[in-house]
Amino acid sequence: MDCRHCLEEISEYVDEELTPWAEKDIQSHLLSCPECHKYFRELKEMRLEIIDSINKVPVRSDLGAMVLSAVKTDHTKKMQRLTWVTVAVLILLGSPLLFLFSRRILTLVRLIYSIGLTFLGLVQTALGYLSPLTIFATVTALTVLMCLGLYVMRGLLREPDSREVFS
Amino acid sequence: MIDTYLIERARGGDEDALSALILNYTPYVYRTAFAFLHDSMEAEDVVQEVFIKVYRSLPQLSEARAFHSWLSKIITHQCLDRAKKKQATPISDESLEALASPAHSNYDRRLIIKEALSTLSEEHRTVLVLREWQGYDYHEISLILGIPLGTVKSRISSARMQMRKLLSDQKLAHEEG
Repeated sequence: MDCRHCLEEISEYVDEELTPWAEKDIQSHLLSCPECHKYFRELKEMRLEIIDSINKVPVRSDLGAMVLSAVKTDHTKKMQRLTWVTVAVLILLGSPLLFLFSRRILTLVRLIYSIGLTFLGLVQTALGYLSPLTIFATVTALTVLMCLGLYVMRGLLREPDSREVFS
Repeated sequence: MIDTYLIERARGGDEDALSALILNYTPYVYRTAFAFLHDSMEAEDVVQEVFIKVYRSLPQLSEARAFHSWLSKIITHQCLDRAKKKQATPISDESLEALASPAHSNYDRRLIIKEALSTLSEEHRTVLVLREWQGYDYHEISLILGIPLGTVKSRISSARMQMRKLLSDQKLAHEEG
């Protein structure tokens, strides 16, 4: 092995990434070449110095407290989100019970129902006049809007994605 | 050293254990983030993001013993994401000259290593930190960065050569100064 070849592989040798026979080649060259051996030693020392230098990077004393506060804020936000979702679910589940006990709510529901029915009647009449292309475009636009709405809801309610942590 | 009992308690929702865990690991996370980014503000942001992820995902950690490597992974991904978002700043001639000048009256080797690391290109610094500080092997680095194994080898080798050159220039300048 010559010096050029040795310098090409010495970094891998330091990292113990060479095959056993390539390792033996380089070891015998290092024994006979003081220059390459010096470079090898420098690389080994550099590793220790890098570790030492990073280990001595000063850390501000209040950083731990700042992190704890950020984590607590995140916890509070999570709990608030959970509370809102629970309230929404309870309202959705409990609303039929309210209807049973309130005549006014029942009247309101009847009104909404009749408005909806009228609207559907109008749509049905309009469909007779509209071209198939217009109907297709309207249905597509409504579907896209619905998907967009669902996506936004998902974004608001979703939990952190564990995949981004475990990836 | 990792306190598995502490991690187990934190996984179980013990807030005191979680606080202790965060306070124990904050310096390590900060130093690793600083090694990658060489910007104290960015590193502090990363520390907060990392621990929020840890807090949210800790119950999903399968084994307490795997905590350290799991944490390392989170830090690495968070730092690499940050580095990607940061605009690439080319190394100016002034910063290279400043590093080579005998400005440090006290020949502080640690400070010089730190500055030499910050002078390296982001690509070179990243592979050196992954290899030397975090101890990933070439295969793992290749997977983390999504680059071929051959590129990892050549990048590490070239990063070391650059570091060596920067350090020997600095040493020479100090001896002359």
